[in-house]
Amino acid sequence: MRRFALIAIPYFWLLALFLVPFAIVFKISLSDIALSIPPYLPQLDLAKGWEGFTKFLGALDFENFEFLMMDDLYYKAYLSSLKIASISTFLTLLIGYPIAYAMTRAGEEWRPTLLMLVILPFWTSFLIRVYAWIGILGQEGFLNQTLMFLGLTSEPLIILNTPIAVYIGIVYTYLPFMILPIYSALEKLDNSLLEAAEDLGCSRITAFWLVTFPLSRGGIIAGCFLVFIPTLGEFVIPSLLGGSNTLMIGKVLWDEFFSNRDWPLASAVAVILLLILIIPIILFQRNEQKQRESEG
Amino acid sequence: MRRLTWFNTTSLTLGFAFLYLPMVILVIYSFNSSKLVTVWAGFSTKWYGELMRNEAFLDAAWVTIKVAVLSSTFATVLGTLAAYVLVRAGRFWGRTLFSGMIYAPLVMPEVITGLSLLLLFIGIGLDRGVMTIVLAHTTFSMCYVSVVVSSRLATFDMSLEEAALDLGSTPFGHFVW
Repeated sequence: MRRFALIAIPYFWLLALFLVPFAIVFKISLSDIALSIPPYLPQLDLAKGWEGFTKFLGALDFENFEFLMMDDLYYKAYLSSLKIASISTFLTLLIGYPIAYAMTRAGEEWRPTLLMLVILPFWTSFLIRVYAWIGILGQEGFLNQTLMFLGLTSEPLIILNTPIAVYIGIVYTYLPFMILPIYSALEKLDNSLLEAAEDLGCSRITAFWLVTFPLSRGGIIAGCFLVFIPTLGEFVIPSLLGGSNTLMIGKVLWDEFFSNRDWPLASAVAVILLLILIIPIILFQRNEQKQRESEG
Repeated sequence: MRRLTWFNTTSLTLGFAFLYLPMVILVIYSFNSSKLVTVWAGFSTKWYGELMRNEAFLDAAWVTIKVAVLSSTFATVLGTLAAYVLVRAGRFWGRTLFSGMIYAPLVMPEVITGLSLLLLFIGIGLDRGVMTIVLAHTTFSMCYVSVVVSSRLATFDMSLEEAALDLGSTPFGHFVW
């Protein structure tokens, strides 16, 4: 009985506030936009009993999904999000791996401090950190002033409101998500393996590619998922840093819901985004569980 | 201490500069007396004074603190329970679904979780306010808690718990201590 309660409390919490909401989004994605409150039809009329229910089911259709297929704005936005997410994941890995690697090479006494320094940015608001970049990347921002002061450029570079600013924002925000899993994978690495490789005639670089890199694969995979999946639906960073030039599906969804007030279409956009994400999310969960089991 | 190679030193320096410079710049410019973000017009703390006199800001700060305290408390309790279930409860019906619901919110784009919760609250006629923010934050924060706690529980020595039980502790007592 106690075991049941223990399982039931978090289970039902997540069902009610995580799974059920998705079911609602799915249901609304099958309805039609209407001038009513809430702004979609049909509404389930429970007072009419079974008849009301069948009438409700009959009025649902896949029109919104058909519309999404026809209009190329949406499919371009999905593709552009996939591209931005892939490139930023790669960039984050490229920048994050050397940092994580260097952290494990530092002396034991330094590691807790370095780890803390990576975690610390999480404690400040994500919004503030993105806003800080507006001040840095703008035409008269810190970066351009510095570059012009150094004489590296005579005219201010236009970075803000371009995809470059979005990449910078994403890499900056998600870097700790890449560093932490790679660090924890590298930290467990047995140094004697590297010594053995070097004794057997490997150069340092070959030893890295043959020993260190493969053994940190679990961390790399986890890090890439932790960056790629949320980036795909990102809407704050492209809204603040990307201007109107950056097309991302999260932003399209947001506009559809709040500017156009087309809740059914916004829901359909969300359902398709979720379908795209479901495979990477399952792979991510598998990877996490595999690592957990190898630890335990 | 072991000497770092130049490569490692450079990546650490550049990496942390990248992570911290924007925040440092932000802090420095908060002492700027000019209204323009990008023009430095001398040191001043006037913006801090203005903040303290700004009613809307003070209200917002108070709401933020309330939301943070409430949601982190609930998330810690629920997340620890979830971690315990994940690591210790063995097999039960829907375990895969349960662990999926723990890991998915970690990576789920905010725009989807936000939209779905908003539609849920509208659907059940719950007015949006501090309570709904707390509910939403608790839900995705508890997943962070349970991932951290379950990795600790997994590496935790069971014999310590057995010893506590042998010495007369109740199951709840040894969980707490």
